Amino acid sequence: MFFLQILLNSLVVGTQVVLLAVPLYLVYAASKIYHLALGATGISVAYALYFGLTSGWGWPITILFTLICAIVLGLLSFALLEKLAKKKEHLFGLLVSFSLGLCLEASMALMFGTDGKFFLSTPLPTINFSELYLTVPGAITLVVGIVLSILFLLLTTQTPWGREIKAVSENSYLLSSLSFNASLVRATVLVVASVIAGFVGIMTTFNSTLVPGAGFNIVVLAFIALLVGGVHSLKGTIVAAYLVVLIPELVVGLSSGSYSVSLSWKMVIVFIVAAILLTWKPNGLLERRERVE
Amino acid sequence: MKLFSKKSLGVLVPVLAVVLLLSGCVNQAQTPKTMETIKIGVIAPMSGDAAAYGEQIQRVIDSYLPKLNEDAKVDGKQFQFIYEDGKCGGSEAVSAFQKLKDIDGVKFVIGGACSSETLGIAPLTKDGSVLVTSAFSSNPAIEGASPYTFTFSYSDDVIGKTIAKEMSKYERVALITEQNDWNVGVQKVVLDEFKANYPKVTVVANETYPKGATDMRSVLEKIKKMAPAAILLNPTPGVTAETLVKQMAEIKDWPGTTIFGQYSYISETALAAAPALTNGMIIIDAPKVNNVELTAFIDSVTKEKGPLTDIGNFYTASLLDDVKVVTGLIRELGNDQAAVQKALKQRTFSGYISNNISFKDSSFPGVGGGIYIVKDGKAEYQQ
Amino acid sequence: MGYFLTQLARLAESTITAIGSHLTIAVGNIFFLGGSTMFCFGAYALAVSQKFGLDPWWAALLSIVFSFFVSFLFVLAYIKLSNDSFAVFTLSSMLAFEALVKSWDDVTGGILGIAGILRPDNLVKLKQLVIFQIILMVILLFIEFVILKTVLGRSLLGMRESRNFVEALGTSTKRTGSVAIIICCVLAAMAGVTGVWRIQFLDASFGSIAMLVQSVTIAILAAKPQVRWLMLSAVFVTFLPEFLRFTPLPSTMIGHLRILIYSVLLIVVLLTISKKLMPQKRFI
Repeated sequence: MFFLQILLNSLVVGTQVVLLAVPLYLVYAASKIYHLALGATGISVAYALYFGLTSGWGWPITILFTLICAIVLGLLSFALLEKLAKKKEHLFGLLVSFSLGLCLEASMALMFGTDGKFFLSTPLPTINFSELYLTVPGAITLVVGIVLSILFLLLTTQTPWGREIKAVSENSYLLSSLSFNASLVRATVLVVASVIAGFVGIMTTFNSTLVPGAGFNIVVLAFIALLVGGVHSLKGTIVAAYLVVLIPELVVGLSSGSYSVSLSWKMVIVFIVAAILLTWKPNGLLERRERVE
Repeated sequence: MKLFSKKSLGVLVPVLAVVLLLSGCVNQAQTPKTMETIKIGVIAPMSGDAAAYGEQIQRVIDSYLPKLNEDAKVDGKQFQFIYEDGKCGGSEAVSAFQKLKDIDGVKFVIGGACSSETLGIAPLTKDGSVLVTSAFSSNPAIEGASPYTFTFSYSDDVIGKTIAKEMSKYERVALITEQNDWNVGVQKVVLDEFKANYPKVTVVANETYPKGATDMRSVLEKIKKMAPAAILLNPTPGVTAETLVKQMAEIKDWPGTTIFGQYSYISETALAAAPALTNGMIIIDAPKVNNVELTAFIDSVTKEKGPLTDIGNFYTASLLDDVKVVTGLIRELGNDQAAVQKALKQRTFSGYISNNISFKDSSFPGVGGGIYIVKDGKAEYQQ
Repeated sequence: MGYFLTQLARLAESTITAIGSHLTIAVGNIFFLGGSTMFCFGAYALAVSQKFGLDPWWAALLSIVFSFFVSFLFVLAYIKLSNDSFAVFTLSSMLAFEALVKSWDDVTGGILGIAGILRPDNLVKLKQLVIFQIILMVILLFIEFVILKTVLGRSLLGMRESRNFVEALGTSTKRTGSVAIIICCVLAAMAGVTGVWRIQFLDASFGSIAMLVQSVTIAILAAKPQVRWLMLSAVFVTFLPEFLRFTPLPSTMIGHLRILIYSVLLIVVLLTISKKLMPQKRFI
C-alpha cells in the first residue's frame, strides 16, 4: 500500500510535467523554439483564476476571464516569437521566451505579492480507495492528463492539423505556397499551448500553493522530458516525462533508514536519470537513428 | 551616428559610467540645516522567495519612523532608512552592503534578515567602518563572526536544545526540515543534542525538502511509515508551514504521534490551516512578548499597511528593539559606530524581547526558549 | 569607492565567464549551458581547498586543475549527445549541482555555506583584487581575440555555418567543440575563483540561474565574433540591473520592478537588434 501511495503521488506529479511537456512539444514542433515562458504563463493564468475568485465573481465569469487571459498570453507569445520563428533564429527565440517568463513572474509578484496563496484554506478534499488517497485536484490532473495526452498524440499523428504543425517548422514558405497560413498555424499552437499551460498551472497550484515562481521548476522538468523523449516525438516526450519524474520520486519515497534519500536530492537524481537516458538514446527515447549524409 | 559604431561606443560607455556615478547623488532627502540626517541602511530580502519578510520589515520601520523622528528632533537629529535588497543570500547582501557603505555613506546597518545575509556581510564589518545589527538572524555561526556584528534574535542553539529536551521524552522521533539556513541550523542543533545528551532517542526519519517546495506528500508518507512517536515540523514561516500541516491533514491518521513545531507555528494563520491536526501541538519559540504597546503597534501597522504574519510577534519586537536601541545610542553618542559598538558591548538594555538585553559576552542578546501548547487554534505560553 | 570597485569586479567576472559562452554558443553554435555550473564548481573547489588549510593561490590552482578535469565530463556528453540534448544536459547540471551543494553539508557547508574565505596576501584589499581581475579579463579577451584568428576560431565559425562542410575539409568538429568547451569551463572556474575571493562567503546562491542567464545573454547579444561586441554586451548586461538600483522606485517594489524592467528591455533589445546581429557579411 505504501508503494502504491508513493506511486500514485508520483503519477500526479508526472502528469503535471506531461501536461506542460505537451505544449512545449507543440510549440517546438511548430517553430523550433523552446518556449520556456510556458511555466510562467501557466502560473499567470492561475493568478487570473485566483483574482476572479477572490473578487467575488461567479464561476462562469471567472472561468471566462481566465480563458481570455490564457488566450491573450498566447497571442502575446505569438507576437514576440513569430518573427524569430520565421527567420529561424531559435537561440534568440529561447532567450526572448525566457525573458518573457521572467517578466510574467515579476509582474505576478508585483500585483499579488510573493507570499503564497491558497485556493482552499483548508486541507484539500480527498478521494479514498481503501488505504490509498488522492486529492481531488490530483485526480483531475491524472484523468485530464491521460485524456489530453492521447488526444494530442492522435491529433499530431493522425490529423491534417498535426501534419501542418510539423510542416510549418520545416518550411513555412512552402507551406504558405500551398495556401496554408503558416502564421495562423503558429498562433493557434501558441494559444492552445497557453491554455493547456494555464490548466496545468491551476491544477498544480490548486494541489499545493500559488507562488509567482512555481512555474520555473516544472518547465525545467518538462524541458528535460522533451529532450530526453526526443524533440520530434510526442510519444517519447510523454514517456520521458513520466520516467524523469517517477524514478526520482520513487527513489526518494521508497528509500529509508540509513539509505534514506531526501527530497532535496531530487534534482541530482533527475540529472543522473536524464544523463543515463540521453547517453543510451541520444536522439530521444523512441527516435530512430538518422542517416547523416 | 549608428548606435554601435566606434564613435558611439566611445561615448556610450563613459556616459553610462558617469550616470552611475552621479545617480548616487540623487534622492538626497532635504532636511532643515539645523537637523542632522543620520542614514541607516536596511538589508533585507526585497525580492525572491523571502520577499514577504522584506516587505513586512519595511512596514514596521516605516510605521515607526515618524515617531522616531519626532522624538529625535530634540537632539537635532533626523533618521533616514535606506533599503537594499539582500535577496536572502550572502553575495547579494555583500553588494547591497557595499552600496550602502560607499554610495550612501551609512555607518549603521539593520540587517541582514536571513542568516546567510548577515554571515555574508559580517567579515566586511571587521574593520569597524560599519556597525551591523540584525533583528532576525539566528544562526550560531554569527557568534564571534565580527566585533561589529550583533543580532537581536535568539540563537538557534537555544531553540534547538529546548526542542531536543522536549522531544527526548519520546524514543522514536522524526524530523522534517525545509532547506533554509535558519531551519537547517535548528535541525543541526537538535540532532547534535540527541547524539550528545539523549542517546536513547532514535531518529527514525530525518527528511529535508528544498526551500519553497510545495508538494511534500511522498515525504510525509515516508515518515508516517516509520511510525514515529514524535515529529518535528521545521519549515519556514508562512505558506510552507501551512502547506505542510495541510498535506499532513490530508493523509489523516497520525495515531499517537505528538507534533512539535517552532516559530513557524506561533501564528494563528498557520494553525488554522489544519486545526484538528495542530490541536495539542507543542511549539518551541522565544518567550511570548506580552506587551500592550507592541500589540497596539502591530494592530495599527496591520490596519494601515498590511499584515505582519510572516515576521510575527517576536520578530516585530526584535526589530523594534534593534531600531530603538541603535537610534537611541546614536542620539546619545552621535553618528559614531565605534562609540555605539562600545556602548552595545558594555550596557544592558530593556526592550520588548527582554528586560535584560546584553551583548557583553555574546553577539546574541541572551533570549531563551519558551514552550507553547496549541489549544483551540492558539499557541498558549506554558513556560 | 568599494561599490564601484565591486561593480568593476562583477563586470570582470561576467566577462571572463562570457568569453567561454561566446566561443561556444555564439561562435561555435554549441549549446553549452554549463558555464554557471563551472563558475560555482570553481568557487566551491577553492573554498573547500582553503577550508582544508591550503594557501589561497594553491587552492586557486587546484580549483582550476579540477575544473579542467571535470570539463571532460561535459566533453564526453558533447561527443555522445546531439546539440539539443547536450543543452538540456548542461542546463540540468546547474540545477543538479545546486541541489548537491545544498545537500552535501559535510563538505560544502550545505545551505549555510562557507564563510570567511581568505584572499591571497597580495590581494587582501578590494582594490588590489579588482585590478587583478581587470588585468586577467584583458588578458583573456586578448587570448580570445587571438583564438578567433587562429584555426580553432575559424573552425568554430565554420561549425556555425555548416558542420558537414568543416568535416569535409578534414577538421574534426568534435575535437574543435571539445576544446571550446574545455576553455569555457576553465574560464568560468577562474571567474568563480576571483568572485569568491571578492565576496569571501560562499553558499548555493552563488552563481546559479542568475549567472547562467547573464553569461548566455552576453554571449547571444555579442553574436558577432568580435571582442568589442562582447565587451559592450558585458557592460550593458552587467550594469543594467545596478543602474535600476538608483531609480526612485519604492523599495518593496524595486526588486521585482528591476527584474521586470530588465526582462522587458532584454526582449526589446533582442527583437530590435536580432536582424542586425545575424551576419550578412562573412568574416574571414
